[in-house]
Amino acid sequence: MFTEYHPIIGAILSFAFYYPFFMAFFWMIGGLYYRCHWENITGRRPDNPPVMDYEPPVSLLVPCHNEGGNVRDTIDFLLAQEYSDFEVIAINDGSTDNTGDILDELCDTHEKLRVIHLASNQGKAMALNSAALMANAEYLLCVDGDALLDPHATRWITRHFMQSQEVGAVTGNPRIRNRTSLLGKIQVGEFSSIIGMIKRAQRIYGRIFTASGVIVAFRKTALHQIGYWSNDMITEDIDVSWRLQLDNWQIRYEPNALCWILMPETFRGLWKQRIRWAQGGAEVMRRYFRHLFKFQSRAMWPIFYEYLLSVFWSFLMAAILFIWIVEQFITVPDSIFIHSILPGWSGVLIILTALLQFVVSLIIDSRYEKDLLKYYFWMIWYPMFYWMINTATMVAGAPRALFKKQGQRAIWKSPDRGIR
Amino acid sequence: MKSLIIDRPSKRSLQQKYIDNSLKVIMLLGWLYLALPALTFGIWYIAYTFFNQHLILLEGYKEYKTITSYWYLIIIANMLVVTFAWSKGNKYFSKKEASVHADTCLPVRESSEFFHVAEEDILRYRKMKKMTVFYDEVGSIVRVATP
Repeated sequence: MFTEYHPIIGAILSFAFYYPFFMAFFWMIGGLYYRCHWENITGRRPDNPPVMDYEPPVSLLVPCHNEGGNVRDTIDFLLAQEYSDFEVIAINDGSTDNTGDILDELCDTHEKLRVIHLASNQGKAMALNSAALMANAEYLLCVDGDALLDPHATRWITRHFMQSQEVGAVTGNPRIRNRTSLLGKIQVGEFSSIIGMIKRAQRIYGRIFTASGVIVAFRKTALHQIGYWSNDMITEDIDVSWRLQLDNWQIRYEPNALCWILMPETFRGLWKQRIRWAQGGAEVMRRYFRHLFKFQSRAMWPIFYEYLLSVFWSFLMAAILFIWIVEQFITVPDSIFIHSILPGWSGVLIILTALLQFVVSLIIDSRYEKDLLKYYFWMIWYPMFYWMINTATMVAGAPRALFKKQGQRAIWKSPDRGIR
Repeated sequence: MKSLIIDRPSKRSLQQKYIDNSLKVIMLLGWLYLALPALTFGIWYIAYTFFNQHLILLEGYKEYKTITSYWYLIIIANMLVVTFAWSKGNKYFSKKEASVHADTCLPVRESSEFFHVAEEDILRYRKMKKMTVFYDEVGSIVRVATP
């Protein structure tokens, strides 16, 4: 393939084709293996978790910053957990709206709710660190201030800690609530096909890139050993996931632990979110790059290389697009001339593979949400639209991480929560 | 000169106005509701035409078949075998490394040392239902008060 190019250019262009093609199959097979092996073991639905002989105490932590419109629902769902021994700790991190008043009011009426007000805005990591100190339980289940935790999620998650002393964290299955706009509909498919499937595949090869901060539980001992959450990382969840795993703690994925979340439904909100994710990933790479050359960190190598390849691919696609735009105006050497950015047979094949990946992932996730397959109709937008956004955010976000001043405190910014 | 065209919506009867305006609203809502699905159908159609042109008419599938008949499958199979073997190997060899992890329940003393807060204070805070936490500029807890 690409025989008309200089061998090196041809090899680079081949990579642009082969990378998404092979990775899609890799993720699909990993996801299917996980589905057939692990998700079949219990044979139970999310609303019917296995009964445990002993339910250890759990502290449910919910950091909030200007969540006046959401926090009441979030707390109600947390208090409705089908679990015998838990407390809810809401952390009001210097909110400037009525979040603090709502929490105080709820605290007066609910026995299990405790409220920590931070006198000034300290950022999510500091809010969680404070809550970890004040929490009575060894197991900390953290959800975002706008997320609704399924009543059975705590039981599904806690059983992993009971099964193995090696488990340092367990992440759940975030499901998108807001689906009014096209962006919302596409993200429903994205969370199944890209995020859910990749987590399943990564569990098969041993390590997870990130335990999503929107629903994740930790063993406090594990957090303590790694020094809790870092307050200078833009995505504290990616950072804590990497540090736990570099310290040989296991992170598990529990698809039955559902958590209903809000996602951006504007281009601006989506762009900001994806930039943050891209920057967060690159920051983590920058910080732990040296650790990855140690033999003790070998279990992290697959996700490390997977990440590096995805960054390289994004920059490569941006370069191809750039060359194509340039050659519309000036003559470029034949060796790098891009004939068309419209897909030829190879591009069509990649899109077909992506569409196959969407079908497989939506079928896998249909177990957790009825009528999920109807969102397949909207996924045709994904290859042309979201790939561009993700490529652009990676190209824009990674340099920010590389040139960011280290040690700068990351604080809250209220994100776009979509159409409600 | 008097216009030959007569177009005076205001002269319609109330019934006509009601029907006309209702139809307009229904059409507009229908358009708003159907525009996105119609556009999405369009994208599916474009995807189909690309598929038909490049893989069927221009016989792209032959090139794909030539490569895939052997190498694609071999590479994917190898990726899987190597990664699964890597994972299983690490799991086996990491048992010893993981065994250093302590048993459950972090002692209060260790939290005290890490956060530089006295043990008895931590135990007192853990019994409080509401509290306000004050920090210094480097993020250390300086005071905890009841609101």
